Amino acid sequence: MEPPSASPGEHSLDPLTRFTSIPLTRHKLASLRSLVINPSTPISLITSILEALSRHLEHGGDSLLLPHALKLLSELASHRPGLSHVIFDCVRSRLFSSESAHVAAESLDAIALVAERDETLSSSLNGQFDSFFVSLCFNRSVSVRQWLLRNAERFGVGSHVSITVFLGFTKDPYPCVREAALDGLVNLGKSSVFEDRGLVEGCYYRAVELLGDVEACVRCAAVRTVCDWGHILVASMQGTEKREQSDATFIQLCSMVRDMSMEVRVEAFVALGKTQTVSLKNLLQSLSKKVLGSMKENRSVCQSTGPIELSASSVAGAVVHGFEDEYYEVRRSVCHSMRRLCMISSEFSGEAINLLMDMLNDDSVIVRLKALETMHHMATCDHFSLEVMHMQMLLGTLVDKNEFVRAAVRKVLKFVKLRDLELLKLSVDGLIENLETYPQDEVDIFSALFHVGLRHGNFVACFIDEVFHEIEPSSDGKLSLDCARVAALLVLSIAAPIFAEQNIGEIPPRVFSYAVTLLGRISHAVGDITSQNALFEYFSQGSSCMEDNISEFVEQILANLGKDGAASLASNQINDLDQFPLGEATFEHMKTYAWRLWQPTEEPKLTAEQLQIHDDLTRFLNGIFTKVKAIWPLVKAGFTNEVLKILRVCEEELETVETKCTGSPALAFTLQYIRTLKLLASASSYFHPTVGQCCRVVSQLDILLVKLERTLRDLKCRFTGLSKKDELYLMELTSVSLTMNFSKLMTGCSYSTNLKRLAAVLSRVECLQQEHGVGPSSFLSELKKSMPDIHSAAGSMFSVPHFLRKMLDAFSVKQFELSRTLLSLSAEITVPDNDSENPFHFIQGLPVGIRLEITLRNISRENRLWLEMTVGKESKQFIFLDLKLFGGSNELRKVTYFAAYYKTPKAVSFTLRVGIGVECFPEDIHAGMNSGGPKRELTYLSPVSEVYFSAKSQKLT
Amino acid sequence: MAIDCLVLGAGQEVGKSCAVVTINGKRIMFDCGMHMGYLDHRRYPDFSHVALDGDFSGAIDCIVITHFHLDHVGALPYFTEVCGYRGPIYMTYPTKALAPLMLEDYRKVMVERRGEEEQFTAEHIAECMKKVIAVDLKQTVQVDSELQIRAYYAGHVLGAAMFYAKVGDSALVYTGDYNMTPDRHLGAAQIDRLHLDLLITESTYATTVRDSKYTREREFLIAVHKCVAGGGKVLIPTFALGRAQELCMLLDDYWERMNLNIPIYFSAGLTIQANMYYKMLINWTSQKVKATYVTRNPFDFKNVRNFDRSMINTPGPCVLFATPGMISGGFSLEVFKNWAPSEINLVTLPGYCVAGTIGHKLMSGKPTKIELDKDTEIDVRCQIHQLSFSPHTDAKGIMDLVKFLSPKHVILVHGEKPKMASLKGKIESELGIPCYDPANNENVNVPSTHFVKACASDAFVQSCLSPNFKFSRRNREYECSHQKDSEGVPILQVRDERIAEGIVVMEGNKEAKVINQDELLHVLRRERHEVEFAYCFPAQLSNKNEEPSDTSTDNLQCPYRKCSLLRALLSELSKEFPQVEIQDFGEYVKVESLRVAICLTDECPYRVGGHPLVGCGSVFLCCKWLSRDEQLVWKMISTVRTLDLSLPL
Repeated sequence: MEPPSASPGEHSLDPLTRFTSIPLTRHKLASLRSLVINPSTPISLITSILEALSRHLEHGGDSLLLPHALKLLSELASHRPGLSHVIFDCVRSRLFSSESAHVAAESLDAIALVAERDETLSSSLNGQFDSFFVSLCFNRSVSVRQWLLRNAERFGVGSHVSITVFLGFTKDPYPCVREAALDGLVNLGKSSVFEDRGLVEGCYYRAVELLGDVEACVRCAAVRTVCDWGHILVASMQGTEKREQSDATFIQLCSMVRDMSMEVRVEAFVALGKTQTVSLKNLLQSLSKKVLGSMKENRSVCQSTGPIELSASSVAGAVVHGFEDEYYEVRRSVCHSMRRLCMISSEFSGEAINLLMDMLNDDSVIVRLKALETMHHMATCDHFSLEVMHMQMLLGTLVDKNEFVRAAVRKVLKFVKLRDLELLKLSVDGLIENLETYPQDEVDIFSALFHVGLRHGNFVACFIDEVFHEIEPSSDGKLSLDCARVAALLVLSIAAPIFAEQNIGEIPPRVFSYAVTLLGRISHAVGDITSQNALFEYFSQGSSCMEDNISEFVEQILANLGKDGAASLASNQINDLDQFPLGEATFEHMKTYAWRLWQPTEEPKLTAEQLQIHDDLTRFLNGIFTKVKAIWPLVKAGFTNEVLKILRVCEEELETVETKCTGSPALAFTLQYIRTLKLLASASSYFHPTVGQCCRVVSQLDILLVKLERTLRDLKCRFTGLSKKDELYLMELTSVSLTMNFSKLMTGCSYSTNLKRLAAVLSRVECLQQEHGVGPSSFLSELKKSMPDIHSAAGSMFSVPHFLRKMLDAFSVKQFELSRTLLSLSAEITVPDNDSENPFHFIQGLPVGIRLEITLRNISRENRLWLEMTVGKESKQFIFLDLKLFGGSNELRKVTYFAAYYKTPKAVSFTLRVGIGVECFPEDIHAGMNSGGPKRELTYLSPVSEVYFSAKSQKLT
Repeated sequence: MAIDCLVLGAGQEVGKSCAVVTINGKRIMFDCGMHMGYLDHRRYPDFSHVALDGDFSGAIDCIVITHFHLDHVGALPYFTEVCGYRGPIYMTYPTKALAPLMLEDYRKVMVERRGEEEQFTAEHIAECMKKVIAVDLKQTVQVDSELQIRAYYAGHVLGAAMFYAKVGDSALVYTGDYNMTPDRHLGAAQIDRLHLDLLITESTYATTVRDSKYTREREFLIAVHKCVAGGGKVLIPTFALGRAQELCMLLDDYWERMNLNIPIYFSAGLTIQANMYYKMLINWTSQKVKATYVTRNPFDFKNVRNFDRSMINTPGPCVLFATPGMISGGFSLEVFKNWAPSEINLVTLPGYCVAGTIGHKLMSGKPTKIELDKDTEIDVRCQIHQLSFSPHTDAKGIMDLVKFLSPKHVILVHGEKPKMASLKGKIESELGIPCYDPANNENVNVPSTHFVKACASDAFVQSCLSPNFKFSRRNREYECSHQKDSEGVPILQVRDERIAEGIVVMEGNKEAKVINQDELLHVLRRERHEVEFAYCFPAQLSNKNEEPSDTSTDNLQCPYRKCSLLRALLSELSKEFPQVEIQDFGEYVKVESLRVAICLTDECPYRVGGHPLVGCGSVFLCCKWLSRDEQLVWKMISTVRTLDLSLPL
């Protein structure tokens, strides 16, 4: 292998002469390639390689080597974009003189590859190779023909040319060519618009002919083509003609569901799932194997008996056959296509529900899940009317062994509209049975009950009236709240009054007092639509006979339902609500609506003390704070290990609680605080007198300090709504960390930066103190006193440990008083349709667009958010996220964001890590980042998501 | 060339399936069954029709058995051992394993219980089975140098197959019994798209269209559950193999789900043994069972126990599977006698019962008393549930299969006469395929395909290699006037000429040869001859802008003038005939094969109508064309005659 020579000069001449004089061999090409892909190969050498290669092309050379040479040329173009025009012209000039079709196809491929990377070239491609493409298609090599048809799009062949070619080759004797031609038609139908009715008809009818092909793969492609071109044809028609044509397409597709090949059947149902319009009689016929009367009637009108009879028999029972199919793949795709068909007609879905219910007995979990998803879909578009028999089958699935199936049933129940009390009773009983059999489902079951309650307030009121005695304490005064049934009934009953139409008096107020005991569990379950505090307020109001004002709770529920369940809510009794789009704009209206419901009188007053008594979480956290405060003297006494042990236990406790109620900002804050203290304790142990200077391991302390700084930054930046007192305390912690920083052996520059930051923190502290009227803590006053010393010190003197120790001794841990308004900033990124198995396609060196679903919580306009994209270790790219792009309120913003990543590496595949960070507060003056990026340090709000890319390129088959 | 199909059994009836097909000189017997409804000579097919002299081995090339049901295999030992057929017999592996069980069971019932004369002995069965060659699905078996057979999955029962037979270019499929929808334990029939001359299909349910099987399953389960919940006993008479396993799977699953612990019994013996075979032959079951097999064998029923005769009158609810299926005798009849008088009990009946059996009597109306024989009469008070699920395909399934295979002819067997007639009409009218429903011992003769082997010339092969497609747009008005069902016929048509343009040449005794069009004359050793028509006529030239007439002829000599005259003609013609392509070749104008030129010779032999009108400045136009364009040409000439080709100067 030729070593890539990095230095120009005498070396570059040598290979130049060698490449140009000696004929190329396979081996030589390999060594040339290593030169090409090396970015540091001098341009003169590259030019000579290019020359050698183009000479090889011109003289024909070894035909076996030609494809390799072409490949190398396209690679060269990708590595040296400046040369792509030269290479393009070179290959093009060679293109028309090649004898072998394979070589011609290879050169066309190379041209396409070069052009794909260069915009100026790709635009000039249009129509340039039409005639060459066509003549090559007519070559006798079948594999080349197939490959050309599959890649026609890449060569910029005009749509009028390609449609002719595709249409012609649907007659090819080779099935693979027919398939490729049909697939080409499908793609063409998506990308181009065809005005000529005759042409569209030609394609459509040609595909219809091929539905009877001998080869299954051709039939598959024909089904796709009939589906797509059928839609194009329908779109070009009007009135009766349109209706007849959409029926005809439907009939053609239905006739394929009895094919002997499983793939064809799956394809047929997928195509049926794309049906846009079809007449009701055809739809209903697909549910019955017997030819329906309505289809027969039609015949007498039309007079022409043959085709109608045939059409009826091919549509007959198409869906039923799908449901009965032996292969789960087919059954799954029927279930899926039912979504679309059910949306077309409510009469159809009314009948189809019988069949769909039977699928709940299917032995394949995938099919059961799909069937349930379809039901959920039907429920959200209000085409889902349940009978008692259906209900029994649906609820039977609640005891399914598979947890996902159970969850899917509950999801259906959340959205379904129950017609009468009996159905409600059945479903509640079913859910309770589910709870008794599978206690681990509790969270979701409560949530389901809550939703059922919300939706059917009046029925629930009647129902609770009947079963209230079960909730009531027994004669010996024992309240059986640990019993699953009672808990479930409580959840149901507390949800009922929220949207009930007339009065909520039917739900006894005592229920709310009982429910308070379950506050934690209920709030956990309904965390998606309301917070614990709001729920508590609501309970306390409910128990005092609803005399109070509309609470934050209903606002929240309305807002959240408005966002998540607008469609489902629209089917509810609240008709006022679905008159206008739900969202921020209509919030005022919703509020007034809720006011009317609640007949409000007075604003509720709920003090923090009240909250603390009832809110077990808050109590628990306060306990932790006290404990932590108490152990700090141990640190000063030097029992660092013991302290760390205690803190670790605290951390574990908090973590277990966190698994139960995720998303509580107070909990997250406390956890972060404990981690900070752990670091602080470890760090201060280095300053303890018993630990001598000699034992001090500088690097370890430095690492600790960096970590400490980061956790503190998290505390400051990721939470908002801290009280001033707490904020002050955080400042103090920051200044401790900065003070400790002085122990590092710092250069003059970083020393002064640290100093500046400390000064900034202190001035902010002063500000806060004045605002709040509190005196400085002992540490802060000590620090302020030593500030002039620190200024004058040049770093070396100041690193004397006893000086620092003296100051740190003055520091003591205080207690946080977390207020109700504490919120945690968070962001979430999901990348749809991407995982390591399905990477996005990218072209080396060209930017890629990535679709990101971003959800932001509690982010206000002041926050400066950055999207950070990282490949490998250092290649970072930042994008500023303008909050104006996001909809929603501060609590929740959502957007689908298209981020562009520019520096795609020259690799076959790579992984991009994407994260969202917020810029820290101004007092954190820090060395500016490189231009274009954030000015200050970032605190990451989201877990890093990975996006996968791969540069697969289609090869000649 | 033709295919002869002699129906020996199951012609317009159900039972004793047997069809002897002669295809290109080869004779195949499909199935060799017995009729369960008769005890006399009618029970076997009349084999004398096959060979009057009794030399069956010489008359028949092979026997193909589709599945192990007695009405398909029952007469086999008799035919081989008693009648003396010695040729090969083909069946699938499971059929080979299960058929002797069925035959032996039947023999025992006949001889030991009823004390009838023995038709064949146990040794006969064993000997007969030795002659059997087992085949696998989709395995092509070369019976002899010409005859090929291949088995395809048919559903129905374990090991059931449809058989494809091919001799030379003629091919046919005999379906046996099949099912087009999968059930709990078996898959749906599965066959390739074949080019067939003949399809012989069963038609048990020629007019029935069944709805979703799920409804039937649900109804069955509800009926059984209701009965056992009320303390009743359920008798499920079934064949040992097939239905029993399907229903049992259904019940076992349901029991599991509903947590029931009422016993399910299998009458000992055959059924237990059959379950074992199912466990072994898992590969022949449905996709579903095969998938389950990874974790457990679905034929290991959890709730099923063996039944003992003494338990018939044990109190308490239970479910019992007993043979035979149509309560025609044996154990199921014994149990039926005991359980029928109680209202709380339930008897389920299979979907089909042969006339003459008790099952058939129960199905037709709800009798209160059933005469067993002269002396015994049974009170029937129990509930009766008819199982409408059956391992046979329904009418829609038959139609679907026929449509999928699109054979040239269809013969219906194994069905009831009136229903078959109705299906026959449907196949003929809807699918346009000639269909027959012969009675027993009737012969149907259908033409068969015969391909001529031809070698291809090099030029033809060359021309075939490259695609050569053409588009043609069909005239809409023409379609509308000539064909009423023009809907669905493509307007824009595509043709690939590369195969169509060959010409088959058959010379004397030589082998046929396919050649390219261009080679034809060479092969025939002939010159190319073409009949050309010619017509020379005067065209009008009005004399405005004209020179005096005497100079007009001179003017015509000058090429420029001739050109402009032709150009005028061209533009006029393109106006009149916008749909045809008109080319200008300078010297003449060409439309298809028509060439129009200005005639300059005075002595033109094709001239008609004398000299151009004096003073009008007319010229002669000479036309030449080939016969194929005659119509068009005359239309054009008559148009040109009316034109005024005044020359712009």
